Amino acid sequence: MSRRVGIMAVIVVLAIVLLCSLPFFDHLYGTFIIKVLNWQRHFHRQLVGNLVSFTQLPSMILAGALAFLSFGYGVFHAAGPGHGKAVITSYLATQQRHVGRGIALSMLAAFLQALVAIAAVSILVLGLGVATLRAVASTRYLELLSFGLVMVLGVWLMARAWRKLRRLRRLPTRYTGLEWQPASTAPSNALTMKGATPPLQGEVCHCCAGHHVDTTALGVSWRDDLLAVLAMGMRPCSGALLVLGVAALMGQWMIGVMAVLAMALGTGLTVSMLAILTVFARKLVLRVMVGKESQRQRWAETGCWVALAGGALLVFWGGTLAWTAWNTTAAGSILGFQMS
Amino acid sequence: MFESKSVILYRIFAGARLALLALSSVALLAGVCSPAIAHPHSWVDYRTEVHFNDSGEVIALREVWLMDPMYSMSLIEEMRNDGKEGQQRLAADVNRTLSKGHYLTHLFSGDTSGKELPIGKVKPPRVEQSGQRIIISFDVPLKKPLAVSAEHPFSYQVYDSTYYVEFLHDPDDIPIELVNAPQGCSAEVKSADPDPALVAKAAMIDQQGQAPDGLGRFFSDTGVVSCRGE
Repeated sequence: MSRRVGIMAVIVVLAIVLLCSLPFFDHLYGTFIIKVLNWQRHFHRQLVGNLVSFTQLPSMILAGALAFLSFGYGVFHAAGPGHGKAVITSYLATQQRHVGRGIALSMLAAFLQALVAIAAVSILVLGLGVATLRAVASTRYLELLSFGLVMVLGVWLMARAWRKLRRLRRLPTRYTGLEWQPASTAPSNALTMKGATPPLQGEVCHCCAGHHVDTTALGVSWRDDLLAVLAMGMRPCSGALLVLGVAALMGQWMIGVMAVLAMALGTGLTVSMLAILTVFARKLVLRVMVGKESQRQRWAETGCWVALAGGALLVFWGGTLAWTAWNTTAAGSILGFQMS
Repeated sequence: MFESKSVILYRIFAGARLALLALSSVALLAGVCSPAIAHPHSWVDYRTEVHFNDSGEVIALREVWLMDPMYSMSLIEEMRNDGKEGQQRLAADVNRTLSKGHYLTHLFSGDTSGKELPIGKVKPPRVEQSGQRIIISFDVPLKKPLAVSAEHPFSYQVYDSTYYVEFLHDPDDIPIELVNAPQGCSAEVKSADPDPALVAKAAMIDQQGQAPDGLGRFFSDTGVVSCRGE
């Protein structure tokens, strides 16, 4: 116990130091943004130049270069702002997921984004004959839909965490009758039922999936993940839309599709990095904060509280983003300029 | 053995609260650090003319914007779709957008930290097609003619504050032309050298959508015209 108090003290001190050195972090983060934007500019201009040359004189070399440039653009574009990074970090930091799942979610979201862009341009521009820029402007509704889904996801996670938490808290008394026993000795039946799990590997995870069989737990989390991917991927990137629109205009539809898929690979890669970092950070924090994994009850409850907070955070993000998007009406203007 | 109920509950909740706090702050930080929609998707290469009156004062800034190839293509498509009136309709659209946005132009006496000079009435911009590029040009008159010296140069910036479109002086052209300028006047383009700390702050505020000026300003060129007295 005293050791944990010591660790907590260290963390508190570190937090204070961190807060006090925020200007330093500002500087670091600002430098990072400037660097990323520079790289992105570089790739974007090359990409546009390349696409224009290709439409004039198609060749395999140009197509290869285009794929490479699109990939690089995707990597740096995603390292910059946006692209559901707030959503994926909030989600992975508060819901128990393995690293592999985090990577899969990031990749799926990136490719869904590309597919939505391809579908939007096929339907609006190729199918209905809407001009590219108007098509870009009208995807604003998809953006709002995506932010709405983020909020739905948050509410859903919160509701479930709350339900499980209540069930969990009723648990000890039910099993020990009138006599209260310390949580550490009270059998949390979640674990007795999955007796096969080696003690060291036990994680909070099944907290919110409850004390049922493993398959249900899996099913539930799978549904969450689907919702998360939809929420992040519903919103096509306007960079991708412009590339597709111009490619379609020049009669090089397939090359546009290829470029956008390469872009998605780059985007997914960057977001995956962030996902990996988040999953590890979560594990670290939980280990330090909650202590030994033998205290199952405590782990389980903490997991639920964290999941609840995560849901609230997602509701907040969804609301903020939707509000911002709703208020920037001029984004749909012909020049794309957004007037403040 | 009879550890009291409240002690255990207290421990559980203390742990839960702390974990909650730590995680939400980590997530918030990570989230806040990823602003929403601030990255250029398009660019404009522009050149300017600074016009003087016969008393050697600056009276207007003429801007000629060359839209990037991809955006130009989309605009040309837009024009073609609208048929005969395409060009006029596009010009009207551009005029409406730009007049709402102060023509994205910011004029100063001295350096760009001072108060902006008021501008007069701007005539509707010209929109024309040159090859595969679209050119937009217009004059921004100053409300009052401005006397320019070495200590008080005339400076300007052109930027989209949301940084959706990046504006830079055309590297392949004479960036600033002085028209009817008295002897001893000269012009230069200063490239942006943004302060990382300010950029980070702007990026964070941008997320909340409350930024009076977003990222665009930090990456903007500055045109400076100064004159040595006779």
